[in-house]
Amino acid sequence: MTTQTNTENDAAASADSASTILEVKNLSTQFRTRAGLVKAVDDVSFSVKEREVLAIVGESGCGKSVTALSVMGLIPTPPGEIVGGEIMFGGKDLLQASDDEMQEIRGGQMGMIFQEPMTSLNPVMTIGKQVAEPLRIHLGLSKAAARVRAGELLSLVGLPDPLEKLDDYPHQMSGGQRQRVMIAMAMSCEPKLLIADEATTALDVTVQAQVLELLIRVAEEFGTALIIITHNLGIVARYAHRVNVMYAGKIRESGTAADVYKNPGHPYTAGLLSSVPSLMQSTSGKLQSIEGEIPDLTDLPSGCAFGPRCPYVQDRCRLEDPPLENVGDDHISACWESAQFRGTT
Amino acid sequence: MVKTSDSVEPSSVDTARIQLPYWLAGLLRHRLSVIGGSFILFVAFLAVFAPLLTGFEPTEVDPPNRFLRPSFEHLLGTDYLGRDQFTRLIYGARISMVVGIFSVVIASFIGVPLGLTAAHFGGWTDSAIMRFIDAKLSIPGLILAMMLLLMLGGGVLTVSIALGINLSSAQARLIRSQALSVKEREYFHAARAMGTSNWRLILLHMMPNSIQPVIVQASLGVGFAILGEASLSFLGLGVTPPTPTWGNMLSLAFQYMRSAPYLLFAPGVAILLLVMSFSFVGDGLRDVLDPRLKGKI
Repeated sequence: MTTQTNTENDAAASADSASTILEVKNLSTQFRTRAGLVKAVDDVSFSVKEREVLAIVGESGCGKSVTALSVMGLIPTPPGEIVGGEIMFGGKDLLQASDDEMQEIRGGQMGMIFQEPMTSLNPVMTIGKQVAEPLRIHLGLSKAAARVRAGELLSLVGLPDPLEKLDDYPHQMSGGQRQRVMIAMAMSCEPKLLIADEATTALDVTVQAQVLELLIRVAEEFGTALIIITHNLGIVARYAHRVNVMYAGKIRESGTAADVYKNPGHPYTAGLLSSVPSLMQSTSGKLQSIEGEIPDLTDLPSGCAFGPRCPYVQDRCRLEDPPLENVGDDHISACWESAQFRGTT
Repeated sequence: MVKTSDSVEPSSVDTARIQLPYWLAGLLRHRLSVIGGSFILFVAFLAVFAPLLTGFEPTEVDPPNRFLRPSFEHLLGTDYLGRDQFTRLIYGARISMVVGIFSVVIASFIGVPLGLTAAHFGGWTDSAIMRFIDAKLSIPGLILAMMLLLMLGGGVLTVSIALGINLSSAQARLIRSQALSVKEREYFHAARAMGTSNWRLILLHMMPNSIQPVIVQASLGVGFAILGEASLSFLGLGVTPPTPTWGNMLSLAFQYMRSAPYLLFAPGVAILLLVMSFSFVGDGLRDVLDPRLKGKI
């Protein structure tokens, strides 16, 4: 790992020297469906260092969430199955861990926030009880102590009148407030790693930024590493230290956020970046998009999965799937044509 | 944070009055439920205070005064042993109410854990439990109850158990289907991601969110159980005489239908009205508890 990165992000630089807390090696997760075998995650490797903010980006259905659920040990089996790889967390391979061990790790050392704030809280349980749950399970706090701590956590995530909110039910809150409650719950046991799966996508645009800022601030305060799963590249640019770009179940590009942004090593990344609408664009032009659709995961094209949509596609791409190769310092990409492609941009 | 007005329920509007639970407030606005509920309370009152409401004993035999027509002294007349029919009716209400409620409680205590276990663990556990229930459903209810009663002997408890076992399959299937949908909800995944144990998941997250139709089914089931008890008693398999039940009163009256047809009337109408009352309340509960209708009733 290099120490010389051409990023302006100090945090990224400091993250470089920290130790690795999560290492995923050759993870493959498959689903058996009626239509056939879906390789939702195929030979994926990456690592997260202490206090690092890693973004996983890609279109819907490219394996981002399945990667996260695999790490959490929440893949529904059947139909899902982790068929290979290692997930090292806290010196342990999570794939070898027992159900009881996983239960302790989930919520205690590793938290997850889901996409839909309107439905991710139990509608018949008060907010206070729900925030207190992980405290009671993992820290063994008494009912009273857990309630006090829950109140503190709610004020930490910036809810107005946190003590009154303890006895509210989820339907009495707005989406943004609920997502703050989710953050309070997920952070309650000060986990080492927090996975936010499209945590702000369903919120109002104005609230999105607030909730994200909060997430970053709380994670920094508690020394928690973050994995942000998103298709919003604006988020990546502002908050992430590193980016993994996934397509059809595989990581196609990985590097520091600044590097990937400035100098994408894969045509798919470049396509995603140019699809972000900008105020600088002329108002008369059409919005940019990537032609075509993500391939059917039960019937992937031969060679590079992005081939059929790639503007730089060559004969070789249709035959052989490109491996991940270095395209710069701490920057890898899976593209046969990356040299030519990068020359043109 | 901006509170969006449409996501806040207007529940705290009239704080001056005592807040009824929303389902009770809803039921009180449901006319048939109020009628049904009133009748159930009336019957419960008669059953509880039976000794104070009549000067006779339900098993007190008075042969000279058999087959008396309804009169001021014997409000509903007397049967073939001269027992006061009104007294027997209100004492019989005790059996009907107890058996009706006991059966659904037993049914729920058997069915709900089975259904939740099947839904939560899925796969092999689910198949085993559900196939067992299917197999049980293939035996007609009354025949199963008769078999159990022949083995266990008659009595309030055994009749309730027999009917409860019968009703439990419906409860199990119902809560399983609800629980399966809860299992796919995001809060369930979120709770799991917090490291919640299977037991807590089932008890705190799955059960409270899937119990509502079971409650509705239970209130309808009370009517079914009362009918079941009456049928079993009519067939001579229920609670053993001389303890009066509406079923065995009907069965006795049936034998003297020619000479004393009025004896059929009281237990028959009582069963009809009580069963109807429970299904009115059940209907009301279903409307009130249906989240899609929330706020519209």
